[in-house]
Amino acid sequence: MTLTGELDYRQYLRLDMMPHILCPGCGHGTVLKAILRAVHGLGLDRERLVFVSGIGCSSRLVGYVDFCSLHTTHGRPLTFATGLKLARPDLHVIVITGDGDGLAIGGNHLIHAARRNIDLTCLLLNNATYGMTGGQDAPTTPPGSRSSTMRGGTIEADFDACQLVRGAGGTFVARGMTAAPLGLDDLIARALSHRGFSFVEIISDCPEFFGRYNGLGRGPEMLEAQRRHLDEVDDLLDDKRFLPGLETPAGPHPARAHGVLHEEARPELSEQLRARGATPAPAAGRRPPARDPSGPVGRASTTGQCEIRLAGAGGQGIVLAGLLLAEAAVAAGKNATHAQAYGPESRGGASRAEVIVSDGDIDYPCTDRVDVLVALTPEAWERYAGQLKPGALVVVDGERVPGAPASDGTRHALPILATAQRVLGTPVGANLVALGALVALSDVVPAKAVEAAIAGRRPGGSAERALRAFRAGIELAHHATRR
Amino acid sequence: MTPAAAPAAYELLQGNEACARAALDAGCRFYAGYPITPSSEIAECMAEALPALGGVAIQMEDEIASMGAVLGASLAGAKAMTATSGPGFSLMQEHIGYAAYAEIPCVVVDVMRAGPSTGLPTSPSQGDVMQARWGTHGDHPIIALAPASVGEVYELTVRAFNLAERYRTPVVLLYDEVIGHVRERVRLPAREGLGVVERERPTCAPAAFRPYAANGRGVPPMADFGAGYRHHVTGLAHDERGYPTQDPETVARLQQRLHAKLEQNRAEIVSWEEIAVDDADVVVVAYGIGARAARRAVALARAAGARVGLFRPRVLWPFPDRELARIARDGRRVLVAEMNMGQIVHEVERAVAGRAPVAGRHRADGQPLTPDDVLAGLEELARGSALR
Repeated sequence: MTLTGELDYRQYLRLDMMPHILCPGCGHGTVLKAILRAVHGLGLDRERLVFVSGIGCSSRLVGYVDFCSLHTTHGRPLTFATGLKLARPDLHVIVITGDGDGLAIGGNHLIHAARRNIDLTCLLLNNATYGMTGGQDAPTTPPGSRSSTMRGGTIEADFDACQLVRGAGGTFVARGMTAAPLGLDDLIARALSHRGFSFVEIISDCPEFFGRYNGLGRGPEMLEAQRRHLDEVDDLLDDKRFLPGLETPAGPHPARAHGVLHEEARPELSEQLRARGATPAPAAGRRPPARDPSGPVGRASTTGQCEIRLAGAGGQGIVLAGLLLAEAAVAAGKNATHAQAYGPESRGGASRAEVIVSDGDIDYPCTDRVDVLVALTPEAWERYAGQLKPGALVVVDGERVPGAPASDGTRHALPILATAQRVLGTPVGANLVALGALVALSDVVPAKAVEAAIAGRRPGGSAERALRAFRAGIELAHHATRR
Repeated sequence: MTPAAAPAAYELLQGNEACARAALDAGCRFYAGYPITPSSEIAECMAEALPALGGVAIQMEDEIASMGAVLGASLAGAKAMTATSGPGFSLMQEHIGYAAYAEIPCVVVDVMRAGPSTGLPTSPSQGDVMQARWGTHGDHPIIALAPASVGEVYELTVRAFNLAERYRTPVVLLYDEVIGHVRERVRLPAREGLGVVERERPTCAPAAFRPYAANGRGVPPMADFGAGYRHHVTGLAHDERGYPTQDPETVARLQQRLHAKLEQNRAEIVSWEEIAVDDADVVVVAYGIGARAARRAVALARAAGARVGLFRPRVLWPFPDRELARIARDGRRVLVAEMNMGQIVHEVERAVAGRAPVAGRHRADGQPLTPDDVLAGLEELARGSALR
């Protein structure tokens, strides 16, 4: 990269937005110049460059540069940048954030952006305080340092942002400081050239609050302190802790290196996502939508309607059985709805499917005047036996539901789970046995239509086994009614 | 025979599936979300469909991030959407305000479950209707649509994208868990006939571009990032250049334009359905699954000789207050049935402004309103014991 000592920065600035809001002696302007030198030196196309920031002093920088710029909400610039980059992978997206923005309120987004290895460059300007709101304690304030909310010196440990990002999977991690601006150019240029998530922590200075509260002098003195320790201890934050009268309850502070701390190649997120689109996943076996220019389904008059409630335990396939019934009804030219009620459990708990089959419009898609009830568990029977119409068809598992009514003309206690066990060698499939019994005992949907629905969905991975269970249910019902 | 001319077939489609299908048909090419019951089917459908269409679906680390990514994608020119439920909707509120202020088109689906807090994750409610209006801080206009069937979820999802693009605004699609999970027989319309709207983009020379200078409808043409129009977008109060400002006149002008752009175009946005209202002594106001219960109740009440009608807002925000005011008249009573402790009922009271007595029938136990609930409300109203 060419160093451009004579660069006219004005070509990259929105001069009509000046004067800027930064305080005298603030290090952020030094960083901005380094960014512009890096952008210029790399010859990046300014029309494809987007600056994104959050909220805070450093985040104001994006307003002053004449690129596309996005000043987002506090802590969230990486989320906006992620959407931008995924929607337009050809854009160079540079995120400018601060230590509060990027490590406190936005810390979660930082680690996830690093984990995803999305091709963004994140520059975190760390001045160890909340400058814009008046010098409050930050997650980067070194232990013992004073802030407006920790006047006796902060007692919390501070983040090492670079270790954090590296641990989260960042593929380029570097640290620089405002006292070494030319070194910053190089770090930023390397970050911009990196394919993947690149992160540069830049130690900046806030003379107005952090410096004043801690007796560190104004800008020149703070920069001088950085420079001195760049040569001596390689650790600015330790330096900020070497304050008259300030003790460090946390003990010795680990030294913090600068320069490029980590660099690796790992597949980048947007490329991987695009590659997936180029080789579409195998079709899920669902038919493509049929389309009709007449618009969404119109209304018909309410006519003959059958409300069916299927109930059992979660994991018994109750919802699936209802779905097969409703699909069969629609295929047979009827109107149908399918609703479900379930608890938080994927297995166990109570589960209920509600199917309404109608020749016309269905006003209300939940069952409240039940024509047909199937109950496979005692709990299902107790909870859902209400709201039966007089003469409703009831099918229960007679061996599982004690207290259920004895069989009569419309009530049938059948060994449903036992039949599944006998036919398939497992009670899994009882839903299909029950469905077979239901279809045989009512004329709500033709059995052939249900068989077609089963063949289409192949529940349990085998249409043959599923159909065997369904037909066993039909047999069971026929046997019961012959008795 | 071309596919477009194939004979139409009915499908049994779930509400959430219909939402995803409509989004894709409306041109949505970016989805960001975080798993939450009862909305997760939308994310799953979008994740399956988008890559092959050249779009992107991403699961973010939370709903705040999801909404941020949606706004970033929309600024890059993509039609973008997220879907969530109550707790996630709460987390999205700050960015919904950002979208309203920076005028970023997007669609937010909130499949309402019972709350507050974690509440009943698998049970329906209509407890977020006021949050959809006022959930984010500060004065802001918003559009919220409330479908009551699977077919209408499809129709109003397309409309949500169209309104978002036309007015550069976030649009909330609000429906309850029952509508999200119910499967109904639908015949979807042909994609060509949907009237898909694209945002107006600038045609001026880049140097003349003022990103927040409004067109005749009060909506500024919007440039994609990276399209040659370098500009600034901020959540700070801003002038026509998009630059931050504290000038009271400029700030007031921005607020007035933001509100006027929906108010002046209200007739194009507001939508409702009336059933048997003309001769009704009692008008039930209901939306979502509650309107389905009310529809059945109205039919049962009519069959029993009672003159009952239904007023069903399809758009909740802006609220159809003038339309309700028109039907409120002497001798007529209004029953508001909703699955919360009383939210839209206050809007109805405001709309009818004392011209008709208003009663509420509310249910907030995680169960859907039933026709019997509405009938009971009508009986109470007839006895006069339910009047507010």
